[in-house]
Amino acid sequence: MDKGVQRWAVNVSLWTPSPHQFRSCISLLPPCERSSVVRFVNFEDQKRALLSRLLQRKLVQFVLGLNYDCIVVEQTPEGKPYLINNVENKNLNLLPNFNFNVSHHGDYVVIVSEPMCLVGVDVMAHDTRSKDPPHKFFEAFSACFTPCEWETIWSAGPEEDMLFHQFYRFWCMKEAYIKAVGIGLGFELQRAEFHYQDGNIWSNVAHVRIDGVHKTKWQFFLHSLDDKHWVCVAKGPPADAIGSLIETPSGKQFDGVTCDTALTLQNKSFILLTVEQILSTEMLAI
Amino acid sequence: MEALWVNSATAAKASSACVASPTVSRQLSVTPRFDGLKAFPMLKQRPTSVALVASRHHHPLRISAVANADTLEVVSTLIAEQLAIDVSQVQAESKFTDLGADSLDTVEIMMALEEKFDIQLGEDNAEQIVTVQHAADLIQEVVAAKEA
Repeated sequence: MDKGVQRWAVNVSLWTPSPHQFRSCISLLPPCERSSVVRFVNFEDQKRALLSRLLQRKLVQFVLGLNYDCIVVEQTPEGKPYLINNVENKNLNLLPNFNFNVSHHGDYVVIVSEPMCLVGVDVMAHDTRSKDPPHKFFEAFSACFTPCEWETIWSAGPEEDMLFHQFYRFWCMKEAYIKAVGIGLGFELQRAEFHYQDGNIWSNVAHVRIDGVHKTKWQFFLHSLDDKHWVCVAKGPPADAIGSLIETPSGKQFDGVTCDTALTLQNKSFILLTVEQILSTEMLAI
Repeated sequence: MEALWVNSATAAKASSACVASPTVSRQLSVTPRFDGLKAFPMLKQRPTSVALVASRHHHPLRISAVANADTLEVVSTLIAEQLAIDVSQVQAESKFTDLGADSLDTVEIMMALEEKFDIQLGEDNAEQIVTVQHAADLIQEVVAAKEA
């Protein structure tokens, strides 16, 4: 059961493949998935996309012991990945709701998984291209956060770096929640309001109110991968999954499953993997 | 990172009560909604949650006219600047995700387009945008409707 809980991160910026090397890495993917990598105009985006997909396959191989070539990952209409052959895996009884989520931004691609609880993840890098000061940068996003959230963000100041850090923390939390539930498009951001329970705005745990109601079973774990990257892992009850997610092979187990014990388990730290480990089709040794 | 999409206007109401922040001088006409998983293009959407009470115009324009070259060029240039890519990489048929727009980029692009053309795009219209061409077409329609 514990093996189903994973938190991995890969630093993409350390990987500088030649065009030839990159093409051969793309061939590790099933043919139908390759266009999802090459469609990106920017090579850095292609790298992130490829490693994102390979990371998913590596996770599934590691946790479920599936033959690498047999792994088929699809996406719900909203874009949440799920494992198509989950119903056949021998560890199904130990990992009834095995679900995972991936995110990439800046230098990192990250992946998280849970055997029972819903999980979502989002990584954010501070984009130093933008030279705007916080008050100007934040303008475009004013409707993304509630007044209370903005108050918390601004309380991190006046130092600009601190303001950006807090902004990204809130951004990650919202995205991670949306991705955990599998909502995809169409969620009104103002409905979800994040807060730190003990008032410590640099706490590594946060909670959410949805439509004003405190959701005690949802937890948001914040990790700093380095001084530029924040990651949030959202973890919650499977009953909150949306319709299309429930219809996925593992999702069929979602209804009626209680995971209170799993919800209270201590959060794991991220393990930093190398690109070489992700590119190998051999079983990961960690 | 997966991009964020923008939708109907409740922006002005959302941030007005925030005491600690400086006065916000510009507002996006569309309330951003996290897609969380995919950037635009919009997929077949699930029914949305109940929206906040807000004023928004409910007259989606059908994009029927093709934007002229000037509009397309302005839109492409703006997008290229936001994404820090060469404008030659921005084709009319380019999808925003493929250009590398993350969720922050999407919000900022929408705002920049509204400012540039002095328009409000609105939720229902914004949902139709898949490619750069669509964005330009929509903008031209909105501009034309405004001037009519």
